[in-house]
Amino acid sequence: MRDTGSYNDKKLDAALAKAMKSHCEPVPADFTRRVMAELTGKQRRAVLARITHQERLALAAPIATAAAAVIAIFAFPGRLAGLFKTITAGLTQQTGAVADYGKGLIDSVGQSAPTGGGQWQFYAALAVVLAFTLYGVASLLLGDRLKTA
Amino acid sequence: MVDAAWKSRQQGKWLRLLRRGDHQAFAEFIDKYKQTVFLCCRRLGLREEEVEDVAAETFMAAYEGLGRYSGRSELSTWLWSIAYRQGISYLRKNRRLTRLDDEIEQQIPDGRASEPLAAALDGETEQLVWKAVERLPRLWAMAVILYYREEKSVADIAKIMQTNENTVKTWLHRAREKLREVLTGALGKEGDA
Repeated sequence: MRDTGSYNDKKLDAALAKAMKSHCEPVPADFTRRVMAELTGKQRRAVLARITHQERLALAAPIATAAAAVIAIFAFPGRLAGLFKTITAGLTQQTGAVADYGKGLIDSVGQSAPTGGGQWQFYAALAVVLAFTLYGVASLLLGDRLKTA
Repeated sequence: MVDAAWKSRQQGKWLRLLRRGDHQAFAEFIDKYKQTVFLCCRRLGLREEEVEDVAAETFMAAYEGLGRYSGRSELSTWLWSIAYRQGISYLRKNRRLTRLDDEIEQQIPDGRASEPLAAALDGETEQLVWKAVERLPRLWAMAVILYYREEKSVADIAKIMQTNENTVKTWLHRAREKLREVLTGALGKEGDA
């Protein structure tokens, strides 16, 4: 490097190092406390969000299962009856009483299932039940997001 | 020797606590490095009201990343990298990231003692040098601070500033030449004394 007179390399390096190291950068007095408070708050919110999510999943599960069962009973009555027959056939060999109960259940499902196309009242009730189930699941999973949006 | 070993053990213990997310250790970490982070944010040209927020975001990011800190680079180098990235990303988000390279062409201070330098003449030499550094283009100033204040190697500076070593060497060389010129002009007589 060229020497430009009063500030040669060594002197310039020394002046720069001294000036840089002696500089004290101003920092707000409560900065550490503020960051720690923010960190604690963030961690608390994360724990709460996790718990809430777990609770929502836990609540949504039985609703979803019930809804699936209702849909299955009315959408696939034949298959469901077949499934019950298979189960009861298996149980017949073991316990006669349990098998009787299974057969009774199949019969009741068969009687309650609609057979004709004119039973609109039945389908309307089913639609109301399904709509309510959907509303329940949606409010469990998206409730807070919908409220804060 | 014993002192160095003790210090190293303490440092290791402190790092383990930091990685585990210990709040007390992290508060000490903030106290130790807050000046560094504020310096980085201010030198990147963030406004005063933005500096504190970006500094806080830097520490939050550091807290989340400490578990992944491998220890291959110094802790301060690692934190400088985060602060630099946070600052650049904030400027980019707010569409204030003009090409920093262009700034080098536009803002090179001349050798004459301009207003801030003249004002500093009454103060200490360190203040004058600091003001001269502040007037350098941001990338040059950052390289000078990292090299002289933080005693980082050229390789570390390149890593922090996400560029190559030759570019850092060029910035440092040009900054030194400019500072020499400015300081000789402003403090020539003082320097000869």
